Amino acid sequence: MPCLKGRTRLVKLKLIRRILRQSLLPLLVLCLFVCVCHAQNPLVMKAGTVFIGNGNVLKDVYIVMQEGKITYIGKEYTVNPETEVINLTDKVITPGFIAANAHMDVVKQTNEEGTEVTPQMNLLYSVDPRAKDFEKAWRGGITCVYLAPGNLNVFSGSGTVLKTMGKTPQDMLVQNHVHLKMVLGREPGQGNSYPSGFGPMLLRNRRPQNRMGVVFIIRYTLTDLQNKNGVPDSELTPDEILFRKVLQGEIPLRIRAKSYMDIKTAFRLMEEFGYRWILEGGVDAYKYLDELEENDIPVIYGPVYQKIGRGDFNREDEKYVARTPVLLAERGIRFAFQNNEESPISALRDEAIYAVELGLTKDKALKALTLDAARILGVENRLGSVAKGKDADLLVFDGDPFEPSSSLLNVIIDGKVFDPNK
Amino acid sequence: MKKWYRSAAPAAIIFVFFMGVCVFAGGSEETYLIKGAKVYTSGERGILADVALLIENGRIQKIIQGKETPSVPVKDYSGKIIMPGLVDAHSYVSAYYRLLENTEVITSDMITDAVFDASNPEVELALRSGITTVNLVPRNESLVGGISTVLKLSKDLAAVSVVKKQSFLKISFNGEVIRSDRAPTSLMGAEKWLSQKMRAIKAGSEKERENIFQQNGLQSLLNGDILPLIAASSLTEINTALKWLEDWNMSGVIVGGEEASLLSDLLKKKNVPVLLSPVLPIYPEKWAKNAAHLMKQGLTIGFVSHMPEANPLSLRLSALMLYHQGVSQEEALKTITCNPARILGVADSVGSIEVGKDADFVVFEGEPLDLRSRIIAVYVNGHALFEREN
Repeated sequence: MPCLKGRTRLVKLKLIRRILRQSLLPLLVLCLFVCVCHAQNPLVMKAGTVFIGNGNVLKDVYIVMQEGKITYIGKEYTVNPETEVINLTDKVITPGFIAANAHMDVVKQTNEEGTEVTPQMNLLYSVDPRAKDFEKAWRGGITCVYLAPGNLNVFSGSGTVLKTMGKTPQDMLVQNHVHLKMVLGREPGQGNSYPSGFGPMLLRNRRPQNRMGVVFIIRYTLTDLQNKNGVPDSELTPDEILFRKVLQGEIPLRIRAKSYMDIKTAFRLMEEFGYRWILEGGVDAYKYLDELEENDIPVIYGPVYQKIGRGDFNREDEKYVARTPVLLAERGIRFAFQNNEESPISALRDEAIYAVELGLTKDKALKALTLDAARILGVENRLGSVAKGKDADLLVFDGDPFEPSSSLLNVIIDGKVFDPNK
Repeated sequence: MKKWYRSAAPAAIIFVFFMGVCVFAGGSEETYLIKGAKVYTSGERGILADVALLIENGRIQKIIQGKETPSVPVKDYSGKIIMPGLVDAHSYVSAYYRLLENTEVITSDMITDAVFDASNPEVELALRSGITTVNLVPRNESLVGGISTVLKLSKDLAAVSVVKKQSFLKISFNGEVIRSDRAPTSLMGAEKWLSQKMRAIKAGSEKERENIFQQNGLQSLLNGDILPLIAASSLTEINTALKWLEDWNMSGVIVGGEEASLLSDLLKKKNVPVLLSPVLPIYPEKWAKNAAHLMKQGLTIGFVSHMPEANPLSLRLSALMLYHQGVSQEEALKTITCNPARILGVADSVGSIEVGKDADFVVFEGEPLDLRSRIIAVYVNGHALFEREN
């Protein structure tokens, strides 16, 4: 019997070989042929200076792009005589800038105020790709933005990473459900100010009305879930499954906390519940440099030139606040820039220039605009630097990008070249 | 003098009204022949010249070609043009304020057949414009308004016939749903709210069972007995609607669709028919291009009037605008007759002139797409409900 079995196996092997030879090989050849025929002409650029994004600089290299991806970067490239080489030998090339948190007017209503805890909300399908702010963004050199629901809920939803050009939001999508946004401070309580029994019976006659209420709701929600530790996923609601992922560290929390009280609260809650988090806003982040460094917490900061000195902040702090990027960079804390409600999205580069004037090194400034922002968003495998296999999102400057006098000549998004000045 | 006026005027109005009812109710015979007119069938047979329609018991019994003449009363419409009665797939006719149950956002138990008011002057206005079948829908202000009903119009409440009692479950992602004083306050919230409610009903949680209100419509939607009719006009609204349909693995119909051409690929992929709002007086060119683009992509489209928000004449005007975009006359006329009927699922009885279907038709003086040609008569179920006096 074993002998027979061996023979049948041999017959089978022969059969497989024959099938391979007769049908698969010709098919493979045909596939290759089709691929070659369908491939578009590559876009070849001869670049003078390339800031890769990770701190390195390359001089006089070819950058080849095909089907929206960078297929080659290096000095040795045999140019096909038919393809045209774009000569950019006196220009500076950087990766497309990434706004790690963008306040843009691209969604009509960003706040869902039905309840305080709405972790399932997501803006992707409410985004209008024809909005003016997308155009402003790419004209300012920003090729990728992070959009999240508004600040009027305690847990307001998950974020979306989008390119700034496309016909539908689905075309523009880089990654959805990136972080879960949690808001500390006064904002979730804004408007919830009718004491019970008085005033009209409105939607917002509820908790929280101040910081204490916000923290109560966070503790209530997360403790409720901790009590369900043994319960399998199938018996939980989608909200609870999301929070479980947060507590297990799969999804990082993005905590919007501006003043020192709120940042302290975020640290305290981290000790209680053990989540992974990213600090957003962080006007007072410079007061917690040690803690931030120790726990390896990235900071999304900006705008550098914001006016403070009202409400929760001290006017004396202003000189520190503007230098926050410098202080963060000195400690080696990863950070990225954002704009706020009062500043336009296109001002992201101006922020970096300002930070450079205050003492931030240019390498760190570029890294904060590109690779570090991509790493914070978790999209560094597609965006953030000029490297083989990454998306062809590049900017062409006529000089050093951190000199105010040098201007942006071209924006390349997904391998397509656009002129921001037209 | 004044007192005499006051007492006589209502009496005179009531008298005239009764006379009118009598004239319209007893206006036609059981079996008769319609002769001499050119017939735009909107069906497979296209345009038929020199035919006679034999009407019996409110149905088209026979389409006679040639010289056969049965011995029945004859109505001669020589030189006129007959087309099927217009089908309005999204209308609030006669019940604009009763179609909104504003106590809750999700009121899926409502059925609209209860609120049709035959004595409302809007009914006459619709009939005069050639509309014979309407889909009476809940308003856009509720997230889930209720279940729509397909009716035949009539000015006599006893003669109003229901073609399909439960045609669609009306869902709205329109801007009117989103308000600041109650949930949902955003578009993403509207979609999530609805999904959450459906998930709760699907799980059959005790809390939802106690709530008798709001159950049945969504339950039958989940069972697949009824399809959703989703009001969505802008790009983001249509995108959200399509995403919701995909999440729940359902097919549905979109009504509104002012920017649907921007998402025509997605609509085509999911094979979602679109019922378009009537021509916009502000951007007629943009509107017409949107409609023509959808038509060229091979999507099933129909025009609706949202009556009384728009004039019922706008149905004919919309078809005319589509004709100006290079669509053939036959195809343009189908968008207000057989396409909406097919989308509503009542094409086996209305929407075209074919043997065995209901005798709903409109007699025009000239070409229907010529706005000068007046409507001479409108027949519903074989009865002439409107006849122009010369």
